[in-house]
Amino acid sequence: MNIGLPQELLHIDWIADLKLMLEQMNPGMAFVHVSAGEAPAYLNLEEDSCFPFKKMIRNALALHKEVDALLLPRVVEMDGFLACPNFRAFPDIVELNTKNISSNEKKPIVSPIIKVKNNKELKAIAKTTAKELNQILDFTSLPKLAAMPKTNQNQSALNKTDIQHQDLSKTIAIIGHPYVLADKRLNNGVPELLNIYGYDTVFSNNVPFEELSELARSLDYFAKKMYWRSAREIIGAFFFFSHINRSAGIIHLAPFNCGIDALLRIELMSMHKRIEGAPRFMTIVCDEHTQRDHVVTRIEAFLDMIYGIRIN
Amino acid sequence: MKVTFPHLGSMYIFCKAIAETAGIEYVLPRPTSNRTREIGEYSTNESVCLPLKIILGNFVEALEDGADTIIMVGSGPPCRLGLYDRIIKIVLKDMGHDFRWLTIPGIFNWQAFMQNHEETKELRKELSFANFAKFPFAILMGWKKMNWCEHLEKTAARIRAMAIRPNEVDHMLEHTLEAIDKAGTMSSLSKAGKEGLEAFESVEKNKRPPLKVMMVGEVYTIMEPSINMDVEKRLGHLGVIVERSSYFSTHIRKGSRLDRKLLKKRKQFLDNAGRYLKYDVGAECNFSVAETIQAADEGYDGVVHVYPFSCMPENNAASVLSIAGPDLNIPILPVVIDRQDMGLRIDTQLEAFVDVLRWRKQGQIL
Repeated sequence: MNIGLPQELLHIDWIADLKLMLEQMNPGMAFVHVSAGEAPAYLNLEEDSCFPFKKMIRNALALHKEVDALLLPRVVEMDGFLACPNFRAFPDIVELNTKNISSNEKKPIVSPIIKVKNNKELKAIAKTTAKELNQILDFTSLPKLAAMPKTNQNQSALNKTDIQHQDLSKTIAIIGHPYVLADKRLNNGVPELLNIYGYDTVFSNNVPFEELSELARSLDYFAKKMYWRSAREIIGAFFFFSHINRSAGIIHLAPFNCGIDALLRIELMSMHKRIEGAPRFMTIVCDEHTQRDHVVTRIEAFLDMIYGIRIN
Repeated sequence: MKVTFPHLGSMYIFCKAIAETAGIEYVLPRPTSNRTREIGEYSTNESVCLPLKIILGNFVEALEDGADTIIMVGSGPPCRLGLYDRIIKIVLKDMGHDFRWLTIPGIFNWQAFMQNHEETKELRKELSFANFAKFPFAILMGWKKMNWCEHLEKTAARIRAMAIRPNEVDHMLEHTLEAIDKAGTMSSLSKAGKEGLEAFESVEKNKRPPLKVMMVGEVYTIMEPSINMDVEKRLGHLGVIVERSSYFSTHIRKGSRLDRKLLKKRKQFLDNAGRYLKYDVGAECNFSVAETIQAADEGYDGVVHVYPFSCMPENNAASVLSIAGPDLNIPILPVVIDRQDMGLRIDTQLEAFVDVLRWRKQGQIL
């Protein structure tokens, strides 16, 4: 049985863990993340929405043809902090847009609410989701979740590299939403370009979220706490790579029209002004129209600032 | 201490009344101009929403005019409005302004209470016993004035659509709001309001039946004419009565959680929106959808969906409404607001929309 789970969601740690749990519960469940086909040309989707959101919806709709059911988690809250409002609406927007595909291609959608702080809560979500998928797809066996080997839990957390003591003086730190950092189409190939130029890269999500959130806390003020999880990740990473373990440069990758990044760009610029001898910092706004040459020019100029030019 | 506050419809009359009655000096921000917008645009970035840019511009101009304390209306997650004050403070500091800040909480919880306590620590020292003693009456006066303003605005929206000379209604509203603003006692306030209502009723009306639309969308954009490019007035001039549920008092009542009836109504709205959105997306997104459903059920001629470019919740509402419109058989006009040079574009859009509504009403198109 094939389950469609859009690739873009998989870059969120908790969703990756949810997938692992579901796979362990039923090995007959095969996940498909990227569609080989295309979404319908016309969609009821606000053109001003950010590129990752549009891409995720197109991918989900295209997956309909290739799977038996779609798993579209409604990401609301993780680790006590909120997701962007777009994630809350995501399954509904996909479902409403199924009117744009033929009725025999439509597949059932399962959209568990992701409000999760620990593995116990995620297990409960996985259990209900598996049950729901089982009902829809009539899986023959559904092993108990408790049978899952403990070592396989929270894989994504285990994958975090310990970069606290690594020498980052010749490394460029790239900060941004996890799906932007991981998806070449969404990040306009910036990490790849840096590697081609011979520079190492390190990402905001290489540092455990708890550490980043703690760093971001210094800017919280009573009710004015940065309430989006990804924003805390980005602010924390900026602190980390400019104070704790300084990198040679920091690049913030922001999708065009991302409401969260619009505010973060202001905060990060302001923070950068206040840090003495701060690493070079640049924001690249990525969208579906950005041409590679434009990005190359900016990257080259940025690297020149760091390594190429010494002005006395 | 010289306080200032942003423009948000007739909210300035409310804030001014409180400041004047309690004997606190204030600086009224200049009317929003192209310069105000430019200050906001040049000090932020393209993806920041227009309300933030304009509020920032309002504050910069008020600080230039001598204000030293900013009073801002707060809000909560998950939309960006909840962090406006955090971001505006950063920008103002980076611009080199010196100021003090007080947020009126949008949601009354312990964090908001602690923040308020912290922010007013210094301010309280500058206020005398007389200032404090006058506060209850000042708030009552402000509340009464705000209710009168909103009542008059609603009446003007109705009369304007039927008036032979809609400009006359605009002038009457302006004149009456000025009288409300100047009223120093409850009786003079009541007198000014009643005179305004009488004046509206005396307006010469045409025989053409007006159209009725519901305005839904993001709160700041709906409430502040300088942000929404006066959509309400423009539609009124085209013979359309514009109704909306978003008023400053609505949001105070909602935030205080004291008005059970309003909270029940909002819960009902959330349930109604469930037909399209199965979860609360945040801010006014689900309410924009629910109010559209309500407008269709109650026989409104159309819906105008007003929101700023890059607004996250309302972008989702717009996607939903593009499906809900044909589904509910009600015309919906999305008006996305951002730059300053949009007056003519909006006129063209609104005129075409009103033509469609009128033809539909006359049975010429389905």
